[in-house]
Amino acid sequence: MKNKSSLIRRMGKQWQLYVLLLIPIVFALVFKYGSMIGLVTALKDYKVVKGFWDSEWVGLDVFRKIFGMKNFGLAVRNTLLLNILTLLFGFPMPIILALLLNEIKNVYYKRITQTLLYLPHFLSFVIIGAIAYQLFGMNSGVVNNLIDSLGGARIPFLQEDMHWLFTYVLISVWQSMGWGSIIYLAAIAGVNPELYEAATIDGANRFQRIIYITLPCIKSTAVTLLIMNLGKVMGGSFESVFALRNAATTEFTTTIPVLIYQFGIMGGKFSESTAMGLFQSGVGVILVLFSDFIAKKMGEEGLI
Amino acid sequence: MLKKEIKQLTSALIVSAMVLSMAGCGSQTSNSESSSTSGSQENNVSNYTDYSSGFDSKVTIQIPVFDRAIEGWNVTDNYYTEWVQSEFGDKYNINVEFVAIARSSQVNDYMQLLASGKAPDIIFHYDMPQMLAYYGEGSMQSLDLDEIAYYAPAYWMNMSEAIEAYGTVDGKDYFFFADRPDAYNYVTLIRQDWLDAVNMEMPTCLEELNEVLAAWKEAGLGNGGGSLIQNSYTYDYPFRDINMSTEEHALYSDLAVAAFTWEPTYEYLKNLNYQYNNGLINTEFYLNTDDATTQADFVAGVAGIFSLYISSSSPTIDSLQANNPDAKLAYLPLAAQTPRDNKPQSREYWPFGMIMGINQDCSDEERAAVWMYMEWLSDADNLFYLQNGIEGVNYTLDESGLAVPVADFTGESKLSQNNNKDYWCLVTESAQYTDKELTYKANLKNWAPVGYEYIIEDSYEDFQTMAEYRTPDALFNVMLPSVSEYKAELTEKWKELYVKCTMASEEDFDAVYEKACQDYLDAGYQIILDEKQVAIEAGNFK
Repeated sequence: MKNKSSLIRRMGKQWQLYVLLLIPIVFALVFKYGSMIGLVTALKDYKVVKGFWDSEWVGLDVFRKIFGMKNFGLAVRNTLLLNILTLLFGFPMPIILALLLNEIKNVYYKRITQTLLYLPHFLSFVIIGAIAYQLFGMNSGVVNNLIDSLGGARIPFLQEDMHWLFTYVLISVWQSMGWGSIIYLAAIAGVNPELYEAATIDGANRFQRIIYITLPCIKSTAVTLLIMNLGKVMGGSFESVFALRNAATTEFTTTIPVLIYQFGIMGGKFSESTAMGLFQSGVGVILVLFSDFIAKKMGEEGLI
Repeated sequence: MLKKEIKQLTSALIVSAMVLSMAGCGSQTSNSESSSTSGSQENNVSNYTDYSSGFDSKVTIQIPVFDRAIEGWNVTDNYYTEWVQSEFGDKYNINVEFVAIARSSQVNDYMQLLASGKAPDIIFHYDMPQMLAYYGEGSMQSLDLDEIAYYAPAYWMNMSEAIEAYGTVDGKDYFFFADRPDAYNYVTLIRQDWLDAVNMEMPTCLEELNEVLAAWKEAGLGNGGGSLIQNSYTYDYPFRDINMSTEEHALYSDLAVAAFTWEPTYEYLKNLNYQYNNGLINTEFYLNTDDATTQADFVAGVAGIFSLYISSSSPTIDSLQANNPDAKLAYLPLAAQTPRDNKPQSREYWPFGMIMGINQDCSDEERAAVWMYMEWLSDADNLFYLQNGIEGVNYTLDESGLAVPVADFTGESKLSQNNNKDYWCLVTESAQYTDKELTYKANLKNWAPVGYEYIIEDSYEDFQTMAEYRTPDALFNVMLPSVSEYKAELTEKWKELYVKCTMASEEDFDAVYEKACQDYLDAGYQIILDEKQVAIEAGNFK
């Protein structure tokens, strides 16, 4: 009785915060939970005109069909490959950047560098893709023209399978590392300066201070972010792959989101694309739960 | 203390403002007002209500119109849409609404409109395979041909043959059509000044064209262009055997699915592979995925050959001249793209242009109003007005009765960039006069930029001489579900495999092609071939 009324009183005191919270909750309810009704499409033979309710039920036929497609196996492999590679190279980069930025003493230089570093996050991949081809195109790209004029051989950055993989990871990491470093910078700012003083007295040089003080203090932030990113290893990445792919490099460029686009939007086959999306999300949920479990085992707080 | 209260008040105000604006702009997902569809169509002539004095209560019809994203032109609200409303809509108490369909993403747009129940009363597309796909989605209602004859007698007189011959699917009538008079405005342009620079004549066969391209490469002039083939698979026509059987033709020739495993495709790819490996075409052709990028190569003087649907206001030639003042253009005949031992075959257009169907949700009154609109559009005077504008303002009539447009007209009644075609394409594909000569002169005016009439003249000549080598698509009178099932996958497979074959070395070509064929068959093409074979053996095609 006492707890309940004090909870309501506390909520009453902070009603502005709750009203503010209402907006994202409504957004999530309408666009994330509300649209879950559409998932039944994966179990039906969806006809555009019949809509969700009148289309026929076909049970797991659609799933059987997509698992049987050769392209789907390739897409799963590629989704995992691209996401794991991006995670592998993209995870340490924001941390390194944050550590480096932290060491800059000149305030103006630090602010300018930070802003320049997170600007790429705001660029749409459609633009990045177009610019990438202008820069890295084999016949007329700026970088290749430079290489050619210096006497080297032109490199097919985006037009040969392995090179494409490398360029893709490079561009993805470049785009996201600045933004990712913000969280780490905030975590580093929360480190007690007395620890640094104590370390300096004990004779630690700058590098040792980073390794033994800063890194351990941001460890929990890093682990939380790692869990969040692991959950996405089966997910997203539509714009980046679609903007950079072309007809000549097909080994790594078919991923689940691209297939969903080709089947769903371009091909009008809504049942198959919903089934693929559902599969992708399902695996994503399992991965998030799993990595959360591992994190808890390691002693960190975890997400859930 | 006061400061704290001000802060609290400000935060409260901001929060309430945000909540109120959210409520204000929250869009209600409106349910489509689907007017009830009447079930069966009555076949009694006497059952048709005469609306020639107008409808009792206002009827709204939604007519689709292509939006080509032209700057400064509002496709759904302009001088001509207002004219249609005042001349037609107001007369019969009909509200004519135009629905914009983006030309470059028309299938996506239609699918989304259908899914949300907001599709216009007419569902249209230029190609039969896609219309069959729309039919397969259950988006159209069956038609009563007598009803069309009742409400739109002039239109019916023009198009009844085509509708009766081609508008039937699975035994019922679904499609109606626009007329397609002879058209020869799809031209391939070649840089005449480059031919002159290497002292060579206009090529008369593919082998000679390849020699010309080699000479251009030697002289450092440029390449033969190139773009990615993503749909409308007509690339293999020049490589076909003139004596092939109708069965073979029906089995393989398909606008919607590339016949990868067919001999003509092998020949085509072999030639493309040769051109690629010898640098005769753009080695990055697969990056040219739309008209804009392909045209850019031509206009910049990198490519010497370019194909397009030319019109008097096409920006291509102007841009080319601006970048290359010395450029001279000529029409590249079809024979130049055909191997020496083959006949220059090409696809015969159907005797119809736009293919249309009536939306499933359309009520009886709305449908009657649509037929009345088609009738009104078919009237020669109305058509002439839409195609040319106001006499004395947009154009003047010369002695022979030909409409001569006023140069650079910018008045209120300015026509759209393709002469309002997207409005009258529901009844015809090109402007027609009763006199054939006059029609030809009008075509020259409409299709050729000033000073380039010779291109259309050459195209017309080619059109006449190649008439015997044109074949229309085979038409199946049964639905082929496997085609719509595998079309999306096979389109992607085609792009991947044909580029791979083209980019292979000349020695490896045969092996790569063999493997690609197997891949293509496994991806669903074998199933399509089997299904078509069954239909062919049952004689379900023409």
